[in-house]
Amino acid sequence: MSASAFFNANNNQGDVLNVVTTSSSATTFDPAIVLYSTKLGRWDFGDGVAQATNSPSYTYSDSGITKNVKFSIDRFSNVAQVTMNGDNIGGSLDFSKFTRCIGGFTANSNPLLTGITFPSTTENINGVILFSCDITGELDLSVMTNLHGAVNLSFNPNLTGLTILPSSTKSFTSFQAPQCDIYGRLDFSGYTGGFGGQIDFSNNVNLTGLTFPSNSDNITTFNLNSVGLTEPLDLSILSGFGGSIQMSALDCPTITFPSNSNNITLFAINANNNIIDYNISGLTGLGGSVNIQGHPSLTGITIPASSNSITSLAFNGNTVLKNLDLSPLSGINGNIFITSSPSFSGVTFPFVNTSVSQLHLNNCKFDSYIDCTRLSASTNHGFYTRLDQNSVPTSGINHMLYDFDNFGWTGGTFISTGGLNGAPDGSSGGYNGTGATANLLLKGWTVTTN
Amino acid sequence: MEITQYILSGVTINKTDSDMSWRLIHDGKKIIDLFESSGITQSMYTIFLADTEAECQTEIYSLNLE
Repeated sequence: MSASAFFNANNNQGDVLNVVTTSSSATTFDPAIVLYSTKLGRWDFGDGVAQATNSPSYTYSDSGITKNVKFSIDRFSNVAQVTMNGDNIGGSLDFSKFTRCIGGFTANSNPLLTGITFPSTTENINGVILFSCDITGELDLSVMTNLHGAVNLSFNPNLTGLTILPSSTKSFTSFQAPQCDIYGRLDFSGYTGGFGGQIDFSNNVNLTGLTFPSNSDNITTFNLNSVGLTEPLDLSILSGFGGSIQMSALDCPTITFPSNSNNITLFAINANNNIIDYNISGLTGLGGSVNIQGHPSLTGITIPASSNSITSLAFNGNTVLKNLDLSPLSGINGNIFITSSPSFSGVTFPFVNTSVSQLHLNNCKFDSYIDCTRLSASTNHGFYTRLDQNSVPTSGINHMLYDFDNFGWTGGTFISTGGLNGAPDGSSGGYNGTGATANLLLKGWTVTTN
Repeated sequence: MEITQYILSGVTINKTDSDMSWRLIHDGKKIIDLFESSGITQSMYTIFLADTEAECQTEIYSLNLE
């Protein structure tokens, strides 16, 4: 690959691009420069062919050869949008003299593109999309004081730094930089113009700190999975928290959640080894799939006072967690999994009026009757329950079978085997476990006990 | 591994012993349940016992269960 691109004349806005025709067959080069006028720029394709057009579709007949491609427009033409997606651009792009650019830059899917310099006298840059390139080292977005809209720098594995403005009154509809290698910390606290949409810095293992602005809008994705945070993560300032929330494999000591939320469709905070307590009481928009799993130090979770419709709850593999009060939740209509938590011995279920399909309580420390009566408001025909490898005595098993029979549910499955679980004996605990089992069998249940 | 039968209120109930095994519960047309357990399973449906899940899958294919 050859030299960086440059602009070629003071009176022109232009650029020289390195276009590498790498495919074994013909390579099509089809960038688009949209102007706010009817004027035409000129593309020189580097092989002796030139066209007076802004958006060519030019096919190179050779392959594996670098072309020096030039685009020129006059200095009075306002550029609405630069689009160069998947155009085999190599080396670096220098747009520093695109002084009349008032649109956005999109140059994603150019795996040989290693750098880009943005203009410093732009008027209204709406979006920078550079995903799936090879931007290397530091990327300076701060020269565009009016940058707003969507920023997507995803999948630039050699992008090690990001320079952003210390403050901005512009509105960002998304900010995504997953799968990069950004070092240090990013401070968005001065971004007062609105911050929302897809917020994603996942898989930046050297990103040690993140500070978010207070003025967040409708957040639809919030993903910080596998970010190397060493500082406490304080999200309390965020408003408009919602959508898909993922924060797993973090090393930070604490996470402070917002005091309110919009509709949450996925909540996955797993394997955060240093966290000992979660307070998500403010997330009343909690819903969808809720996963808090694989925590070796977690001792408590404060559940929100209400919730939206939850399709599954998974609290598996939390080694020292002892109990959960899920009673404030509403709208559970899917699966409840609390397994492989060897200290877990108590759960209070919420009142539900929709159907819970599965309840798994395997490999915990339950040693008495588990009260499922709050689940009885739903029509749980086909209800599937497992509490293998616990210590529920015969009286507790009798009682649970009696409850299930009493609820009138049909066609369910109750499996309680292994460990110190008891078997129904027909009398213990005041509940006739044998009679209840018989009634369940006649209602189409499958019953397995020790 | 054995399966015994008894009649409860005119309904035939199938019952296993407590050896660890895979249990395929079906009604001849569709799968009611499939799981591994070391407990005693009782069901009004047919219980097929096997050492491996694969054997149960073979039974599912041979009976063309849904």
